[in-house]
Order: sequence, then structure tokens, then C-alpha cells
Amino acid sequence: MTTGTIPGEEVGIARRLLLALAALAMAGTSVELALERHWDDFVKLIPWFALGVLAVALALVAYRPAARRIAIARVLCVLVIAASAIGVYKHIEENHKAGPLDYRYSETWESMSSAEQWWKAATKAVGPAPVLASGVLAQAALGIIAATVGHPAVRRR
Amino acid sequence: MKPLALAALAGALLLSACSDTSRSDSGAATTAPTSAGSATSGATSAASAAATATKPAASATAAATAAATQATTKVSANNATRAQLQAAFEAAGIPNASQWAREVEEYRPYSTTDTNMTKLRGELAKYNPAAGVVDKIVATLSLP
Repeated sequence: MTTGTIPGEEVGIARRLLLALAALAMAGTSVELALERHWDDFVKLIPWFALGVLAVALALVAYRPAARRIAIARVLCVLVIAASAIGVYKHIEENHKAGPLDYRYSETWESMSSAEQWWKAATKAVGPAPVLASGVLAQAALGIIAATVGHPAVRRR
Repeated sequence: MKPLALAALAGALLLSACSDTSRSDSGAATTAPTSAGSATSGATSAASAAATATKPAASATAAATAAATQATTKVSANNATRAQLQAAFEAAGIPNASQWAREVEEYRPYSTTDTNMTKLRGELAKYNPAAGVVDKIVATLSLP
């Protein structure tokens, strides 16, 4: 059994595929957000800002990548991952607020323990908000970060 | 027997007086007894007393009518403030009025051609509300 390194050309293809998948996730998310009219208040604009930041990060890595540009892209991606986590929380919070509106729990919601309420909100047993939907932003960000791992522009530094 | 009859007559007169006062307050037509000492007057007074007894039921009906009138007081689905929406929903007896007001505000704007508010109905249905709640909310709203 031999161990060898992956040829640089194949690594380059893998990087481009990761970036392409990130771009696809971003495009799909943009359409989904537009269909949901996800722009009523400031909090709902956060994923749009995140998509903008991801677009910048993607461009930094895909076009003339250099150590500094890749470092900036990674920082931007970490910010988007944080925004994604906030999105997951906000969706759970929305579902939590909707708990008393659900006829199955309208009489019992107030008497339920806080843990029980939040569990039902997090598992979407109550409320209409898709809990993990904003996770796609983190996925795209991780894809961009993955495309920079062991990047020649960084190794040359 | 005579003192008993006098006491009965006095009671009837008293009831008649009370009835007359309350009916005057409510603005209804009144028929004052013309001869306190006559048997006819006593009978009229007894009828007045009976009318007084039915007053709570009449008041309840009036209150229900007032509530229904309030429930049909509509506010603009597109332009009312959240406080106005909440007040209208509370008047209509919709539970969790503040949260429903928030949701109605969130899904704006509503098309003026969507007279049945299909869009809003669809959005609110996602919250799994009790039967009739969405109908009550829509009944409280007007377009634009």
C-alpha cells in the first residue's frame, strides 16, 4: 500500500468545486429569502448582509488568491458562521413566541417549563420558522474556508 | 286578613315605583299607575315588577349586541398600527391579541384584490390556531 500526495491539479479542481458549491448555496439562499420576503425588519436583513459578506469572501478566494486575501476571507466566513448561529437562534425564538398561538398548547403553554417550551420551539413542534434554515449560510462559509485549507498562496508565505 | 291585604298593596306600590324609575332610566316607554288604590293599579304594578325582573336578561342582550358591534369594528390590515390591531382583536375577543397583531403586521402588505385575505389566512394557518381564530381576525380587518 502506498501513500502519496494528491496531485496539485486535482486539489485545484476540488477547491473550485467547493467554491462552486458555496456559490450554489448562496444563490439558492438568495432565491429562498426573496420568496419568503425576508426583509421586514433589521433582523430579517441579517442573512442578506451575510450573503453579501460571503460573496466578498468567495471573490477574495476565487480571484487572484493571496495569503492576505485568504486570511480576510476566512475572517469574513467566521463572521457569517456567527450570523448563521444567530439566525438559528432567532428562528427558535420566533417559534417560542408562537407557542401560545397553537391551539394544542394555548391552554397549557404558560404552565409548561421553560425547557419544555424551548424544546418544542427548537424542534419546530410549535411555530412556523424553519429552525436550521440559516445553517446553509454556515455551510457555504465552511465550504469557502475548506477551499483555502493548504492553499498554495498561504503555503508560499 | 285586612292588614295582610294592605301590606300586599303597599308592596305592589313599592315595586311599581321601582320599576317605573328603572324603566325611565333606560329610556323605555313607561305607564305610570293612575290610581294607587285600585285593583287595576295593583295588577299593572305586578306587571311592571315582572318587567323589572326581565331587565338583567335585556341588559345582557344589550351588552352582547354592543360587543358584536365592537367586534365588527374594522381596522386597516395594511395601515393600522400594531396597537390599533391589538385593540381591535381584544375587542373581538381574540386571545393572544398582541401576538396576532404582530403577525398581521409582519405579513404586510395585503393586496386590495385579495378580499378574502387568502394570503393572511395562509400565513396565520402556519401557527396552528384554534378553529375560528383566523376567521375572527380577518373579520376584524379591512382593506387597504
